[in-house]
Amino acid sequence: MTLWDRWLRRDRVERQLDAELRDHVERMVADSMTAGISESEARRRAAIEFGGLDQIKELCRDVRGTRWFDDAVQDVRYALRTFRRSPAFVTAAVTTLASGIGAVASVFAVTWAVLWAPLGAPAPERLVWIEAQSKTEAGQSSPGAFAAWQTDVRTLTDLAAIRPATGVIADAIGADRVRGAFVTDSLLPLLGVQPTSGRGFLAEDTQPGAPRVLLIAHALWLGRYGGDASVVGRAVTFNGAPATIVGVLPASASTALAEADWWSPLILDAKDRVNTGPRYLDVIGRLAPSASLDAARADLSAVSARLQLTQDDGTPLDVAVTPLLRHVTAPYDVSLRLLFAGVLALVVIASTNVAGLLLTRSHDRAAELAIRAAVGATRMRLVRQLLIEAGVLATLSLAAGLLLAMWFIGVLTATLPADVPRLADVRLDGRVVLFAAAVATVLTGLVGIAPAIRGGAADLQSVMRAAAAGVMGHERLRRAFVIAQVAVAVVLCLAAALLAQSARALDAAPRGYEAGGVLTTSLTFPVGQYRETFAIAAAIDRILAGVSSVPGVRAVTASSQLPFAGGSPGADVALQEEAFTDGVDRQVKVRLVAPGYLTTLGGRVREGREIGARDAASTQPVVVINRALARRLVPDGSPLGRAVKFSVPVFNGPDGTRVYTVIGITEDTWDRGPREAVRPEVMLPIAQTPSEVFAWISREMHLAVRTTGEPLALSSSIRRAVSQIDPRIPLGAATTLEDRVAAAFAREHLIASLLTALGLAGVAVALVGLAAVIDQHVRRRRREIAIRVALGASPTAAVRHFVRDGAFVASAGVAAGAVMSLAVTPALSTLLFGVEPRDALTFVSVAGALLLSAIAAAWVPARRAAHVAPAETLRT
Amino acid sequence: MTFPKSDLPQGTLDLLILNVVALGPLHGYAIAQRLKQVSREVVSVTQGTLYPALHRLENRGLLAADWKQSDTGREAKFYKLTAKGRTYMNAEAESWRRLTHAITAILRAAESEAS
Repeated sequence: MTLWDRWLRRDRVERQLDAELRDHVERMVADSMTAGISESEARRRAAIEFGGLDQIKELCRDVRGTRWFDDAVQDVRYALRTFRRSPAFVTAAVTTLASGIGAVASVFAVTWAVLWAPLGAPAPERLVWIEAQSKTEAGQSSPGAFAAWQTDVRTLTDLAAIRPATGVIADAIGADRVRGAFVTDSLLPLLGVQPTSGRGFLAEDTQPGAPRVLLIAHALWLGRYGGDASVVGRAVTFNGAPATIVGVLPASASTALAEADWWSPLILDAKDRVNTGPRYLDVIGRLAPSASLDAARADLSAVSARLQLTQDDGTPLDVAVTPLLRHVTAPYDVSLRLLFAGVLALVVIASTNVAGLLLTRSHDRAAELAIRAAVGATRMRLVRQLLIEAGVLATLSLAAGLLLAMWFIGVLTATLPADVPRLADVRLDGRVVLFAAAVATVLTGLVGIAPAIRGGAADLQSVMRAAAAGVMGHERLRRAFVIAQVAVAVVLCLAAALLAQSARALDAAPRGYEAGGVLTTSLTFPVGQYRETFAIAAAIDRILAGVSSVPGVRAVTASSQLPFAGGSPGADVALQEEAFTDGVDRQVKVRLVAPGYLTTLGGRVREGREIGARDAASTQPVVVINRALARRLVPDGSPLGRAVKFSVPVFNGPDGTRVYTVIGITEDTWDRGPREAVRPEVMLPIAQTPSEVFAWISREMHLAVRTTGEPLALSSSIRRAVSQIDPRIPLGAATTLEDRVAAAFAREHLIASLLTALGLAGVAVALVGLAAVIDQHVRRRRREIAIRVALGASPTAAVRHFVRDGAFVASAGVAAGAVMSLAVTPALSTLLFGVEPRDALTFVSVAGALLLSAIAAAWVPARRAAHVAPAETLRT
Repeated sequence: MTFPKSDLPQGTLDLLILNVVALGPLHGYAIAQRLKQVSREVVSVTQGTLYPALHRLENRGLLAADWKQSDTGREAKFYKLTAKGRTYMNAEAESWRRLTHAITAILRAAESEAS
């Protein structure tokens, strides 16, 4: 019989034990009676000889081996019984612990799924993200570099390139603009992606001139085709040209990379494969089995050096290699870790309150424990009893906490910005439950250990003596708890305050445009009718004229790039008299703009003028440049009126001698927010843009409309105005520029407000702890206060004493917290904008505010000292 | 001169019980009686020692127990020796014999020197 069986069958075992011993007694009685003794006398003798029946039973139970288990069950029952007698305590403790466990578990679920779960690809740890690294930023690579890496790098077994783009898919269903990517055929095997139906890409799909094929994402398949299996093999019009859908990607395929609704082969012809100028490719690689990141980086750099890819100052354009998982999660890494740390800190503060509660409770129960010890309970037994109480508390909290976690996970995933990768994978799975259980165990240990040790040490004498003297060691311990709580709360609040300031600074930072009152949308020109510049420019002219006549429109313009929308092709630009030393980084971004771009967006012209209606196809070629480019071209003067040229031949006109006059210099603008380094930029009139350039940006332009009233109210009339010009031009969704900006900073605001909430909760909980300690202190010293008051001390002096006491404890906590923060806040530096991690003013104000609230919190219980009535108190 | 009843050396009670039970299945009362008779009342085993010992031996698998109808008409718990118990008993008896021989030899030597 195993221990377990024995325990399960313990009732029967008990009955049998009883029967066996009674049988013995009966036989003794029977024998005595045979010897002629009366039954009552025989029973008396047997009882004397046999001894205590229960004592023998106990001894037999001891040898059974399930003793510890029986005791534990007894302890659990005992704990539940004592809990039923103090519902307020249990509610407070379980609520606090459950909220903590729920919060930690839900944030863990998010952090795991987003940051730590391996990517869904074969051997995902060997996948790397490869970028061209200039002095200031890392970014996309040129097709020339990619082709050279693909043939010459041995430390990578596979390389794949991705060119993100927007495409228009048109068929019987309609014409839709969808995000997607042109990818090399090596990407699918690299990521281990198998189409759920149809086929992947074949080598011949990537040959120049091959018929265009498409793989569509699971989401698009469901959303646009209703999950119709016959979609495979269907002919569609893709960006105005015929194409065939050859397969459907699994739902998991897009989570590893930016969302893409279609994949189509990236076709690099012989010219592309040696073109190291434009950099528009994202590159992914797989490390060879024995290769390290450093070896791959060295290998890639060596190839880049051979291609003489260099920066401005002639130093080689370097290569950055990061694990793919880290690249995908990098934008959220620090924020999520911070959130995780913040929640942990809050849980520590909250649990400390529970530890304090348990400590006071065990103190109040000291007499009970001492009596149990006096009648023979061993110290181990008492310690175990108290730990089991904590364990029962933890189990209840774990159960409630997991329920809360389910709810929190829903709230968190709904609140976090949708661009957080792998958010759909967040769930309450076994790993999260295990983690929550581990947290509950650790918390129980931390929360239960101090009272258990103190409680276990109880002996009757000292308890009685201490009760008489009123000197309580556990008060000192509770004070230490409060100091720790306040310290952690200070760290949380400081981090929150710094982030909140940073978020405000981001909002307030100069952007170079006025976001308020602007509606934005996108236009895509179908390739059929809009192959040449004159067609596109003419259509844009008519669209601008049509939209500007809509009532409520103040100004309208179009551009290849608006803040947080669209992109700009890159090209090298130099002054006319300069030579393009091959490979020197003269990259600028080329923004194609319609007349009135700066006026509409509220940008500022520093010198000269902005691009206007007079800059037409037939007039002199002109550009407006930003301040960053002006400084680069002519470091100590103004390039206004100078002629510049492009390295890319298409800009140079039919005879290759075309130059562009700089007619204006603008203030710098931050299209992707103030954190981004401002890139040198030229603005080129759409009317003067080479036709090829429109193909580079997939003929996608963005419309910006400044309105007098609520911008979105005009979206349908603007849509109508555009479709009157040409109904075949698909319009994207209309959003306000303000919404785009807000969405871009949503993460920063969210993390700031989440941390602020955690910080405030932390302070509240810590102050409750402080108030509880002062309250206890006041209660403990009622007699002393009564005597003082009776002897003539003023009651307010007593109140002052306790407030001072609270302030003292709080300032110790604040000081400790400030010191901890000095060490902690520098970890935030990558998140902060416009505020130093050790900003003195923030430190002082947070510390001051906390101290004041602590004094207020101490005053509440301290006030009761004034109401001590000597006559009553001393009589009891 | 009357000798006080001896306390049993550690571990010997198990050996005695196994030997008693080796003769056939017995219930607790009979085992106690038999121990008393055989040792001519020298060995006194209280119920407080006997029953924990029986249960311990049962837990270790040296004894097996059956509930059987007994002479009183009530069900009684009968202990019997298991194969494992027999092996254990023989080994223990052998080592006990060796030990007592050695002790007797030492005592004899000491007596002859003292005389």
